[in-house]
Amino acid sequence: MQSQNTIKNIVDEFIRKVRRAEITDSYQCAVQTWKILKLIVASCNEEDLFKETKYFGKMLINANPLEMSIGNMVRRLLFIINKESGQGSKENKNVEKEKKKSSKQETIKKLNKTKISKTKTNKFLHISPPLRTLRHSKSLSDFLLKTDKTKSASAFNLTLLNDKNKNNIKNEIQKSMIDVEEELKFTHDAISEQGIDLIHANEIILTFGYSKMALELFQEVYKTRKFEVVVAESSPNYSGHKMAVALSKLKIPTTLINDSAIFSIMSKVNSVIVGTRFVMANGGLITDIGFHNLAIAANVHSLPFIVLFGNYQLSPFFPYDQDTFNIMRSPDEIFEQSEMTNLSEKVHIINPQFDYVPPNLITLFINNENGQQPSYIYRIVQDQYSTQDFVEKD
Amino acid sequence: MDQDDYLQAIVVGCDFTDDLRQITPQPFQTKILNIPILMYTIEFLAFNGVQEIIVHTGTSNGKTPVFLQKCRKIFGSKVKIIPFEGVDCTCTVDVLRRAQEELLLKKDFLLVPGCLISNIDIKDLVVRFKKRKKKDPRNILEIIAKRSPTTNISPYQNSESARPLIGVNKKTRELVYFEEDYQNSTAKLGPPLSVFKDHPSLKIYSNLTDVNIYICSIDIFSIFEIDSRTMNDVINVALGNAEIQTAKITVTVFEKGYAATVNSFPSMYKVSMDLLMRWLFPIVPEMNSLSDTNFRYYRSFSYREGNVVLGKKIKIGENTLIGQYAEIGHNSSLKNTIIDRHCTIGENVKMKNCIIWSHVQIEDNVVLEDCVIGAHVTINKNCVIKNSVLDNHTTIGEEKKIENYKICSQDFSNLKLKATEIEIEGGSNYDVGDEGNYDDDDDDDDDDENEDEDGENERKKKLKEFDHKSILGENSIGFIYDNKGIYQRKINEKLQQEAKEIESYSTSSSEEYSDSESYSDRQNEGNNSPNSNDSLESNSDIEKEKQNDFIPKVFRNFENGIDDEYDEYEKQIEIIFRKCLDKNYEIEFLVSEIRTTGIAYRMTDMGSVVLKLILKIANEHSSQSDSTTSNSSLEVSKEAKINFFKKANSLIDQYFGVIKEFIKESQSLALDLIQVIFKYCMENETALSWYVHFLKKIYDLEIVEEETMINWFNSIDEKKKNSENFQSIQENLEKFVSFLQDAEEESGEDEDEEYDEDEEYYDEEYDENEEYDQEEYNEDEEYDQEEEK
Repeated sequence: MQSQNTIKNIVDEFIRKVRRAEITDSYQCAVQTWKILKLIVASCNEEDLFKETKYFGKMLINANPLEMSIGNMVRRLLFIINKESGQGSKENKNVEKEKKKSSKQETIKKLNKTKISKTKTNKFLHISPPLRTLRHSKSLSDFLLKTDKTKSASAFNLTLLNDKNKNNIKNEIQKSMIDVEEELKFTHDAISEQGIDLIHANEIILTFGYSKMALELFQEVYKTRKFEVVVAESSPNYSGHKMAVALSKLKIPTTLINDSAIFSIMSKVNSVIVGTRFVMANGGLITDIGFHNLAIAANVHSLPFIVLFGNYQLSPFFPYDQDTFNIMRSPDEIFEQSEMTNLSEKVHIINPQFDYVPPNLITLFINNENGQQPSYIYRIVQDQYSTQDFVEKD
Repeated sequence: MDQDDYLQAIVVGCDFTDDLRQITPQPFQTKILNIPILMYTIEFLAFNGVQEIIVHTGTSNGKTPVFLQKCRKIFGSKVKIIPFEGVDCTCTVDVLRRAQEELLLKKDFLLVPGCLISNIDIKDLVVRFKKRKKKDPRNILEIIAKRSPTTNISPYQNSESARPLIGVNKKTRELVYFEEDYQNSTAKLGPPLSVFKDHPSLKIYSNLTDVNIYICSIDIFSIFEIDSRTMNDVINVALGNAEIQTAKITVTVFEKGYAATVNSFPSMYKVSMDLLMRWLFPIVPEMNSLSDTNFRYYRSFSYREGNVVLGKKIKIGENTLIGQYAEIGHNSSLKNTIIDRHCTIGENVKMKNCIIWSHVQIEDNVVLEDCVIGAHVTINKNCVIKNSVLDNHTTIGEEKKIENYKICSQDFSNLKLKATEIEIEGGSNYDVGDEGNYDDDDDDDDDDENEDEDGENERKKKLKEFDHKSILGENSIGFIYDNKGIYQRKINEKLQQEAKEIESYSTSSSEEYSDSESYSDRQNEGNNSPNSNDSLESNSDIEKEKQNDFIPKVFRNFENGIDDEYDEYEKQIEIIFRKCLDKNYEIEFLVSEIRTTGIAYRMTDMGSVVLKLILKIANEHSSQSDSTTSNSSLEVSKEAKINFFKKANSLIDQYFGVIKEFIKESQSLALDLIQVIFKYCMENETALSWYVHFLKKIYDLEIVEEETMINWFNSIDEKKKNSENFQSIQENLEKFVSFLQDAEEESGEDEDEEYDEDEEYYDEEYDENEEYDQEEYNEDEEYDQEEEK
């Protein structure tokens, strides 16, 4: 058990790292946040669990509100805690869940005819078992673990008392957390499994910047099929250079282009497959600058614009313009200070980090489980997060 | 492992410059974007993996540790922050020595000033430095420099920027040549040829800003000498012993990233604006990582905290930052302005380029431009304040117009007030040392200081002379500290730009020479030396041409006719001078007065201005007497002419000490004098005939050397020569010049030949249009005789 103080230190250290942009990868952010959340859950009693998670969660989110993977993980935990403790309406919710599950699968079948080889994907699909199954197994542990109860006034504790098995709840929460961790761990594998349905032989695929998911997907598919990749360099961070090198190391034929050439090369491309930073609740993207151009270019040429994302990237917010979820980076990246002269001093240099891509430009999402339409994303949000956790923000 | 990774840093709290000291007598009070500046420095160090930060506070009143406790809270337990009172330290090297004596430094350490703002990542550099040191323990110092903007004047410096000229071995990154303050040095020769010989691949930088970040080995104390004061001294010493090779210094130049130091008001403003424009990303205001702020970003680089009350129709322009609990009245507008917490601002207030600290109260209809306003200041209705600094706890009365003042809450006339040293109540002495702001063009710093001590009383007198109440208002609290304002540099910048235009071709070539890598990658010594020779020669040619083309600043500005600052400066001197005439002050006092004004406006040609004034006053005198005697005469009467010369002559006699004081030995300034007289005489009929007499006068008084006069005479251009006025005095002038040449032939043998040639050449030319008024010359002689009687 970690003492409260050490946790505070760990949280502080993490926050400092995020603020200094020492961790910029949102996957790493998610993994580390989850580790910290596990420590927090392990260290506190059930009575304080929700409160503590919220308290530290707020701190973590405030480290950089635009690094949404942190907030996503925090809200995911809150959702789990809520679900596990809110046993009162257990049956109702289970029924609801069941409905969701079935309707989800139906729509999936209808909307995308992606035939996923079940033998392969099943191990990943069921890595995160629905909470329902977890609750069934609870009855066993009910007998084994019974501890004292203390009375508390909080609404949360009332529900706990109703449930009569406090300690179990914590155990269950921890179990669910391990599942989520597994899901995180195998996100990339689960996605690259599905790649075989997206790329056909001898196609030319356009991708944008560096994305680990896209890279692994290409690697996986290239084992069975030959195709070419065109990489846009993604200025001003030029992560596309890294991507091109990584692809060529895998012996995949690679072409590197600059961002301005996207439109002109689009006519030679068969489909666009990209990773993203965040997927928003409306099915839009908040991602690196330059994506909007790419999406519009693909739309004009009627090419499929396929976005890969892990569930940790799914954010419950609704964006509506370019400015709300955005941050201005240093002008240094696009204009060297040493080039400054008296004349150029008055030039405004604006270097936004993110681009908002509206959902109507996106053909298909591929997440841990399977393909999704942009219009369906809000359902996944509802499955992952409880509304109160992000509506009553601040 | 642990031992190897352990990294210390020493923060030299006060920069030993006193520009900001006036508003922040205690160190670390200066705030950038409402956050103490030290926070940025510590953040920079913590970001670069420093575990132990030693902060030199320079005070022993126990105040700073409280402040450092806050730092500790924010930076967590991973970074140890240790206060270090080096009370009597007067320079960077002193601080290091003291820290060493107290055994604070254990291994390699970083040395940074307490006013550093940067986001450069030097983690790898430190590791590499340690590796290199293991291989060769002579590696004791690494300098970190930043490519600066290519403007002539660094926007971060108050004075002309002191940019070093640095030669770096391209392969080993070793420093092989170092010249402090390259731009202001007179020689402009650059590195000796031997440097190029020894290092076939050499990179020379001239456009670096010294950001004062050093990675030092603990062995650095071995190269400290007794008289080393700044790190530049230390570097010079290390390079001086190059043959023995006791020390190796490496240089790393950063192209990307941001680094700046805040040690003056202009740099404070400039850095604040840079930070608002997010140059320091990821440390941006809305991250709120360095303090308990809660800023949010709005469009066009404006930021606001919560609990801000804004009135109707407020215009919030670009680059603004408003702190908590600020209240701004209706119809106010702000642009490029930073407002700290708890400020109350009335209606119709216009603010532009201002930094306003906390708890400031500004009443309705106030206009603020280019200001720094300290905490707890009250500004009453309808004030207009421009280019000024208001200290904490001052109050300005109603409807006052304040321009170019620094205003203090204490009465400094009772305190020691030296340009180089300021004593602060309860604090310690801050000695400017080598980094003083006033070392611009004065070649005679030593004399200056002595004089300052002598002129101490006069300075106090001068401060008392300011009618504080009438300037600041009846119910004001505060005293005027000086009348320089914030932006003296503006004038200088203008002048520099003009100078740049004139010598545009020369600078373009020299920039190429210094900036590019043209000397690198030369394997062959034979190729090397002739080339560099060529460029040096061409440079010196250009130098010469420049000398001939030289137009004194006085005229450059008059011809342009738009330079208000210059007019202002002249007016100031005129006021002082007239006062002196009326009240018969001592000459020393006059000198010190004029010098302060000159420094204030960053001008050096005080001598010629004084001379011009003398002529002007003499003229006024003559015309006054003229008007009493003969009202109707349109032509200038003889009497007036004589009166004029008499008056001028006596004034010059009386005040030639003043002129000489400013001219010193500098012949370029003396050239200004000749130009002044020439210009004046050309424009005023009264003075025309006396031209040669004046020349003779200043020659006799040994202000100007023969050589300068002859040179000037030779360089008069054709247009002027053809003017009527000129022709009328030409004969006399030529006579005078030939007299001078004779005099010089006697004095100097070596330079004869050169000038003889010139002389011949010009004599031929003059023979052609030889034409003069013999009569007038005779008249002149008559006057002369009268004068002698």
